[in-house]
Amino acid sequence: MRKRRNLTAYLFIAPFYLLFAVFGLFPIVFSFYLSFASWNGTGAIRWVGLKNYAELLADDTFRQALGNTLVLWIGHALPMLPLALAVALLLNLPWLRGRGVARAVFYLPNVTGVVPVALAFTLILDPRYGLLGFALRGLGLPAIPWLTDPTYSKWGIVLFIIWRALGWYAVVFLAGLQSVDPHLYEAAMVDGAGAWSRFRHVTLPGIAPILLFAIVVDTIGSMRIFTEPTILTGGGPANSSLSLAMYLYQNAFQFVKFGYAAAISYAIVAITLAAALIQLRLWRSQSGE
Amino acid sequence: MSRAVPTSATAELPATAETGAGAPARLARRSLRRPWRWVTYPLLLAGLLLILAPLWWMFAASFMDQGEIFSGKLALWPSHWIAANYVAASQLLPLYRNLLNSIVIAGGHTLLAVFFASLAGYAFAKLSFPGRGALFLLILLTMMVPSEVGLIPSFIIVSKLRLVNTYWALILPGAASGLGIFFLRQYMSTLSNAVLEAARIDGCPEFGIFYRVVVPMSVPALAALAILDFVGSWNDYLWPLVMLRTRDMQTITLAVPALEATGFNIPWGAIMAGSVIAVVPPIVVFLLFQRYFVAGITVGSVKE
Repeated sequence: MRKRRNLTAYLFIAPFYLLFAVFGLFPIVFSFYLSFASWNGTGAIRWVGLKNYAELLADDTFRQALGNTLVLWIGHALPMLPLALAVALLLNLPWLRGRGVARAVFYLPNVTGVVPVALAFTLILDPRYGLLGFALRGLGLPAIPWLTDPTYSKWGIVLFIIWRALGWYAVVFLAGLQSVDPHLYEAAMVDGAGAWSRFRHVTLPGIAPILLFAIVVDTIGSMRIFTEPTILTGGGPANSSLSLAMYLYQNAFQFVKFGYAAAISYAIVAITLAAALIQLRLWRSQSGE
Repeated sequence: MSRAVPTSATAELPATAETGAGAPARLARRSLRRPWRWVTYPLLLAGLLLILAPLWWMFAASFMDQGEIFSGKLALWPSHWIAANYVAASQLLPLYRNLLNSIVIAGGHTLLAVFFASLAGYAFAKLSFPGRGALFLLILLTMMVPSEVGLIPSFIIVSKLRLVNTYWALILPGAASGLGIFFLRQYMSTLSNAVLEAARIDGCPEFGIFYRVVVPMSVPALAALAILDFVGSWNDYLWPLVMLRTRDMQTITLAVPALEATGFNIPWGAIMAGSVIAVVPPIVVFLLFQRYFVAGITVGSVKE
């Protein structure tokens, strides 16, 4: 009887694990092996030890892609996450009318695909013909060649990322705000706590787990950014907006250096892991005071 | 720093303040006197306009003459609404075929992913078997690894199976969704054990319980997962880029940016028309099933 139950359970998970073994687990393991090898997909796989990783360290383009990716990440996360929290606080106002509609509008860009909207942004960010150019000139500011100048290309992409991801984080934060126990606010108000002190001592601790979740999710997503720069700039000009994942794609499918590309993919894993661990560390030391 | 100055943090009040009775609620209402509304509504409106402007412009430009898009003058409303861009897009691309591909791929991927994840999610939520913890942990661990890591081996496997440039190349690999299992397990573990036990005592086989009891009770979660999967698959770019080689196999998401490479003069009007066609289905799905989206994205963010 018990054995039959077990068998049934295994039958339930079998279809998933079959597919998972082929397209989930095996690729991760095989890619790790490939990162120590040299292979163009047809001939024999040649073991080269740490050569790919050593090459990476000396590869200027890789270093540039890493720098670009970090700028794209920090550049959008620093303004966007506080802004998303502000939007969430706004949408959480009990007396605000049209909250449902506003929440839907903020979330909308995240539903639209990166590709079609990025195509529109290619024109919108154009200094001469684009919507943003008109807006900036209207305010008396200079029109900036967001996508065609090496100095600005990353920042054009950053603007697009913020526009598209802001609402997603706002809705996540909103869920967090609504999970804070309202009695805590009442108690704080009875104690005479002002708005700022309620925010600092009730709201922030209450949503701390969700803030951390958002920061980590955003970091992981940023390290693998591919589609946004591919459509907006193609990584240019002069590799000034080439991301790590784009460089991985180039090595895999344009230069057909599978081993080197696999090494890049594991470098992305290592960098992501390092960034996440640093964040957890900082978080603990901050909240443990 | 004794009394807080009114900052934007004044906005921070529990949603329940309006329903709460007694002194705290009255205090809450008083701290939000009218002046704040004069700041809040314009701010909100500005935010909404910033979000909507690019989408509106994309829509308007898709009906503009190419000359008007590049006139160097601000145009938020086409001087003449023309359909020429849509005609051009349908001439430059096998547009209907691309849409059909997107529907088949996103639909097939969603059906398979939700079916497999619901089976496994149920087993992890309600059945106990040796290795349960370890197998679940394995899924969680691989969820942490970005999918780009498996890009090359997955490509090799699909090539060896001779599935490059087919629907299966896009439907199969993504159908093993760890996130789906995680999500459904969480939902299904809240289902009443008493109901399941009663069905078991009545002699209902385990698959019958799953099919007749668990699935009907999990419709909200299944719908949320299906919608997120469908939109995600519709908008996917990197994996289709690797897998789909010919124009008549490409999804709409893949086909539209390819127009940038069609010739000396980039047909931007047609590209905007194609982009509008590509964003409409996900937006319609979102507007119809909005509440499921919110249910879907907060999974994992709110602690169990």
